[in-house]
Amino acid sequence: MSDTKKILVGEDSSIIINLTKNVLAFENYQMKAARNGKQLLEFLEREDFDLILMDISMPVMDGVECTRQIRALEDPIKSKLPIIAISGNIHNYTPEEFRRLGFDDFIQKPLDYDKVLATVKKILS
Amino acid sequence: MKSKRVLIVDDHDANRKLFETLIGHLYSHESAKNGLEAVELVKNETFDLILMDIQMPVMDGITAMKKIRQENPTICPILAVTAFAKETDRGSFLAAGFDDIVTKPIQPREFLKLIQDHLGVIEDSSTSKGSQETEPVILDRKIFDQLLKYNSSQAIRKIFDEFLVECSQIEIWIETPPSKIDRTDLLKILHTFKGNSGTLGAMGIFHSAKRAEEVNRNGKPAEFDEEMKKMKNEIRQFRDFFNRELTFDS
Repeated sequence: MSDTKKILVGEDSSIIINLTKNVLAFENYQMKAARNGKQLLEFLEREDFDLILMDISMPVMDGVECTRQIRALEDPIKSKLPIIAISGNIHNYTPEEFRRLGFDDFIQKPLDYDKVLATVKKILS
Repeated sequence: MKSKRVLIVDDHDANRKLFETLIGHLYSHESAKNGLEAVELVKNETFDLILMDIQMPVMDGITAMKKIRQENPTICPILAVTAFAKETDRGSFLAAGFDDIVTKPIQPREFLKLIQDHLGVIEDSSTSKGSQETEPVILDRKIFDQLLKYNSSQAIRKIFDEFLVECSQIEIWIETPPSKIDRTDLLKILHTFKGNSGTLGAMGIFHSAKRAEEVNRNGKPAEFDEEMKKMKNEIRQFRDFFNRELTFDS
């Protein structure tokens, strides 16, 4: 395996996907984007990743349900991957609620990319 | 503060009594014994909040909530009242369209706090309105510079072009008569638009989208329509600013 860390992003806005891709490339992270939770699960089944950035509001399958299914996977590595929620937090979840929903961390939208990068680096270092 | 009206929907007499007692001190209320009664009541009266039991005879709470939302696209918050307390259930109730969940057995203090939160936001947004509108920043330079740190100016240009296309789509939504709009779709698009505009530093648009989302959640259709009109203005200002001020070195 190479040193390059692979990050899977679940996000339905192509603007956020493109920005995030550039920002992560800045630190030599590789990124793959899924447009919804269902697609994300399919990518995760076929490939290995080191970290997941997960939007909450997505069509087809939202980030909360997707995270629940990841945590329920049989694969011992994939089910324990770090998952960071990126969200406008429309439901006003507290940090405690995010943890109970299976997320390791939470970044509020609108995104501050210094913070995104710092959070990703902290977890992957 | 008895100006706020709460609709209590529960088939058990004891539960209704409990809610009526707890709420009665603070708010005026009306009660219904099943989903169908609630649907009928909402047709003729205005409420600021609805408490909806899930399991009821004649018509259950989920069906009633969906029917009410269908017939009144900008209805007030509807909270599910349920004995299912697991997080997964919570998620599925929210996904179904409820604004929040009240878990039985009721803890009076937490319960009243929750009710207050859902009713209180309305007061906050109307009293603090003035101060929110004093920030006429079209594009937050700090955010923009931060983006330039990580993205080539060419890449930024492409992303902003995409955002301008999104702006045009929102303008089309705003110009479409509300009766021809699927509100759920509009809210999803608006939520994405809010995140995008804020992340790109288009603060005039961002604050407008945020306010629109808030007044909608508080069931204020007239204010929502008004905010959408303001948003159209913000979009126009942003586009003018963008074409006039922003030059990208390539």
